[in-house]
Amino acid sequence: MTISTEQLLKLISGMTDQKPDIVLEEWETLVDSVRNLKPGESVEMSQLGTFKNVKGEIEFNPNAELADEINYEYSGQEPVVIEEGEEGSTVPIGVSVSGDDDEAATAKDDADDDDAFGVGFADDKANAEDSDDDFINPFVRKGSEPLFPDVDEVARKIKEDEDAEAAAKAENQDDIFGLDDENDTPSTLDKSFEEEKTESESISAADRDDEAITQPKNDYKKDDDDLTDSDSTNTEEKPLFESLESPEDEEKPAAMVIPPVKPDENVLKELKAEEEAAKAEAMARKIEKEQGKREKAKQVKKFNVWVAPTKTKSRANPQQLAKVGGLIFLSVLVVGGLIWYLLSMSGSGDRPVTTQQAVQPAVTEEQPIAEIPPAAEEEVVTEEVTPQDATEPVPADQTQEEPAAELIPEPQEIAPDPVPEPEPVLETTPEPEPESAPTPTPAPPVTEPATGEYGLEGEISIVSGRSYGIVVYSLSNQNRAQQEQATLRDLGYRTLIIPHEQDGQTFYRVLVGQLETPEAAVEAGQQLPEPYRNSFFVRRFFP
Amino acid sequence: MRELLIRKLTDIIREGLANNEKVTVEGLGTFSKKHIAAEEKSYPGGRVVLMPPKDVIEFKKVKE
Repeated sequence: MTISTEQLLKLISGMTDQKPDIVLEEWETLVDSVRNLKPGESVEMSQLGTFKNVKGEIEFNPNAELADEINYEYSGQEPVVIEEGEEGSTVPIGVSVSGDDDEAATAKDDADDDDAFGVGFADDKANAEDSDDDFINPFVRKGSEPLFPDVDEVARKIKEDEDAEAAAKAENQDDIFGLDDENDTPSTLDKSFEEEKTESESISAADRDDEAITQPKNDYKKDDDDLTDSDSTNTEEKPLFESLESPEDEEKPAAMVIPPVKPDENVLKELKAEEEAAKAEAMARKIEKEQGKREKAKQVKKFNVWVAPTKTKSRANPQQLAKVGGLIFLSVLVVGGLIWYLLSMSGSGDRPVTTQQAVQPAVTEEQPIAEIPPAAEEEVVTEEVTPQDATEPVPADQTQEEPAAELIPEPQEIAPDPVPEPEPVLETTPEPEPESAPTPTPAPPVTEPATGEYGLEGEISIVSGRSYGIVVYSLSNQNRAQQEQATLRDLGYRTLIIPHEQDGQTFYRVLVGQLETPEAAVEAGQQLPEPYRNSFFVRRFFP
Repeated sequence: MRELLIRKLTDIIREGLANNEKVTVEGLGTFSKKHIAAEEKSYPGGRVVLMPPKDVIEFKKVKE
């Protein structure tokens, strides 16, 4: 665009009453003042700028307002320290891109720390810097103890409680009628309750220890007072730890409150007998269960050919249902095996041959079903087995083995049955390896967020560390900034708009990428396509 | 009068440069917008600073 003197005069003529000759004369004087500048001389034109002759060359320094207007895309951007030098090496940069000396000075001193939230407001800078110091741990009361008690302290107290309970239980074993329950239970309960109370109050550690010991003691005393008025003095002097360490002392008050009533020996015996019977019953059940489990394990190993493929599918079923199903299946097996065993024992001599079929696979657990020994071998073994049946008290084991052998032909019917499916989950742990191998394949999506924390493409992610973006636009028009952002997003870049206020005007900076360090951001910026490569700048946008 | 002339000249230059045009003023010279890319500056202490990019006005006096 070229503007001639006539055009200029024409433009001005309508704005002034001066004659064109006078205007032309004035214009020529103005131009001559620039053209005839001697070295070192300068002429300032308000609103436009200063012309200066430097070594015979005329230099033009625009007015700050005009410079900002021309540099509006990068207005307010500050130098970023990529590498910190030695202390005291902060050479004044003295560059103010936008002509804002305050911002340049800030950048000079701590370009890396200011504007922590990337908003760019001066107040925010201060707040961001202060925010590190004023960080409030939500779990700690300011200027006092932690809101939650020390873990070791709690663990110690829990251990004390447990010891106390164990001691009390040991004592109660002899106290069949639970006469001392009133003494034991309240003391421990109240103790823990009081400890919680005392912990919630922010007292010193020493005081807390004292209270932890003495406070429950007082409650214990109160409980005693309810029981008896006369003997409370006996326990008053004793701290609780004594009662914890020597439970006998703790029981004394109770024994004094209620005279030792010696129960009838017959009643005691009956109770003990009942207790023993219950224990024996429980033991029997336990043994039965364990035997059942062993049986199942063997069954599973035999059927693993069918079971393994369905294993992963059955994971979705509720385990409880599977267990119940497994138990029913086992009970059917056991009962069937028993019946069959009884029948075979009472039947012809051919039956024991099949009995041996059960024994043989049990010895070679891993053998596939097809490797069941031939009948010839079975006959030989049968001769050895029959005396065993007579002499050894191991019929139970044999009966366990029998159903396994008997059900060998059945697995094809059983396999589709959902009942045995859950069992291999526990028993055939080595089996799932080949199947679980492909499972890591869906893992990449899980690790993707970790690797995608930083980069040029994708979506902006919240990261714990700092993030630097590449400023490719700084626009005063928000809509245009959003349009540019949309364009960049369509290209696959992760983008962000950060508003920046300067001289009362808001600039919307469009950032591309999210990099961990300024260096990485510079490198990434150099990989951008041409429209951006030449005009990018780096800015931190996450603290 | 002089101020009016300068103001009008400034408006013309600003408008032209905003449109990424060179503005040649007869008898005076040419005003143009020059882009300076971001650049790293190293300082004696080892400090490296990335200078932001900027657009500046460049002036060339008319040849006589």
